[in-house]
Amino acid sequence: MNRPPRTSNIYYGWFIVATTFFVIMVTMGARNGVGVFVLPMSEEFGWSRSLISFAGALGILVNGISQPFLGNAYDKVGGRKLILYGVVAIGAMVVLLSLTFHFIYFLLVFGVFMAIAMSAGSITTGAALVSKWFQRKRGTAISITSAGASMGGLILVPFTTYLIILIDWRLTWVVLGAMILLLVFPVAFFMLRNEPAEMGLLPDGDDVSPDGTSKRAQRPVGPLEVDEWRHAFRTPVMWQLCATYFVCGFTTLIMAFHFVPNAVEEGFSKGTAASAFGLLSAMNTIGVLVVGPLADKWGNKNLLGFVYAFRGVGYACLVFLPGQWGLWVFAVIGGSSWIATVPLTTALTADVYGLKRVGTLTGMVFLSHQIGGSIGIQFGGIMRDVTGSYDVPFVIAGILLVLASITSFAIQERKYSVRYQPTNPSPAPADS
Amino acid sequence: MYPLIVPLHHEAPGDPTLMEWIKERMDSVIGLEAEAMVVIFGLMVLVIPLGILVAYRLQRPRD
Repeated sequence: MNRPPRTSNIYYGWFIVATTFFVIMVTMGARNGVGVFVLPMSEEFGWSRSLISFAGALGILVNGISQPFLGNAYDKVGGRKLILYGVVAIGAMVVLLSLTFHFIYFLLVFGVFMAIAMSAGSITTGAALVSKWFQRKRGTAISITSAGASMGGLILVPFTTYLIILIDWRLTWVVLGAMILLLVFPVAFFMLRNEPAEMGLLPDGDDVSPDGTSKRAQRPVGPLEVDEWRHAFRTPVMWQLCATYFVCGFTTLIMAFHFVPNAVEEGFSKGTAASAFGLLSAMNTIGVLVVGPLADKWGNKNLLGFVYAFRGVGYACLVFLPGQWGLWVFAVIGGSSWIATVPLTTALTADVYGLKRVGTLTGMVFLSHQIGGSIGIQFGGIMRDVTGSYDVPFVIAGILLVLASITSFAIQERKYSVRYQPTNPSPAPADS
Repeated sequence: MYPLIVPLHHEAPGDPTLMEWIKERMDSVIGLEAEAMVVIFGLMVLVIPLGILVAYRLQRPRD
């Protein structure tokens, strides 16, 4: 491999992080802004909210099911190409939403095709790409990338809210699509690279000596690193990650759907419920940014166990604390743990199973998250109808979080993670 | 069926009630016209890719 030119002051991996952050921010922000379109589209077509929510629920499932397949494509064609295709497809779908004329059309474009496209340009593929650029700082890098999802809600959704006041909803979809195609795609095209070796660099920005060898010791190989994704399912860690992420999906999506209705039923105003949920959403960003550097310092699995336990405490507060206390305490605790599981789970997957199949494996783990989420949404609604309150489903969610916490603590990270493997002191080729 | 919320992963859902509350709160705190708010949020989006490209350009090694 050619010796690289004098490396720049900033390790190129941080540009990858910034670019994936931006991709996720805009694409997810545009999709989440669909809530703003509910009223004008409902008024024009006479659709009920439940009808549109069906498209959203279908999208969750399609997104989850398609993620392992797109993850497999990631492993074969590389993250850059897949994310670029995904960005173009998402942009095109957003523009096509402006032509909505029938619910079936909306269902197919938003609930099916756009959901599949989101799997290509998603937080999962973005995190998988970032994993290749970092090893020691993997948690920090993925946490910054993941924060793009929160920032999309904080910036793109208000942008859409005001834009729809100025121009009609069809033109607003066109503007959002144009932003993706004309702003996100060019930046992603110019900046994204599959892995550091393409640029003659090493993960984490480690130095390359003049003879093309790494100044650091040879990178260790984890005992469970796989060439085939199926092999990961023969080991306990994969099942532990899937099980805990299932609980993550269950306990976040049940709350995403039922938090406001529950608060209103408890006697709080819609404004109070919405403001508590707004606080919860804002806490996402803080939580995910804090957890990454901590994971790099102290490891992933104990922090993951703590995050699940912390969220469980939030559920307990919501159910047992009197008055508004439960609502607000949950907003802080639940919110700060909301996305914090993403960098920890993704980093653990990459650390234990290596990078050859990281796209497929993170897709598999994500699928279990979406299955848990779908079950959680329905379970919450059914239990509410049967018991007359949300207490039972929320208590069950809390119990599941205790189990997820125990399961996370039980992961043998020191035994299987690459970060704890002994290093070979001999220098390694820079492209190894 | 339950109120419309479309959470794709962990991100904040697009609940219309929440949207309405956010807009009312921002209107009361900031008090700007919709045009100004679109420009402000649009610039916030625009500044990120520009920042990435400018930072890359400035620190790119010169051969």
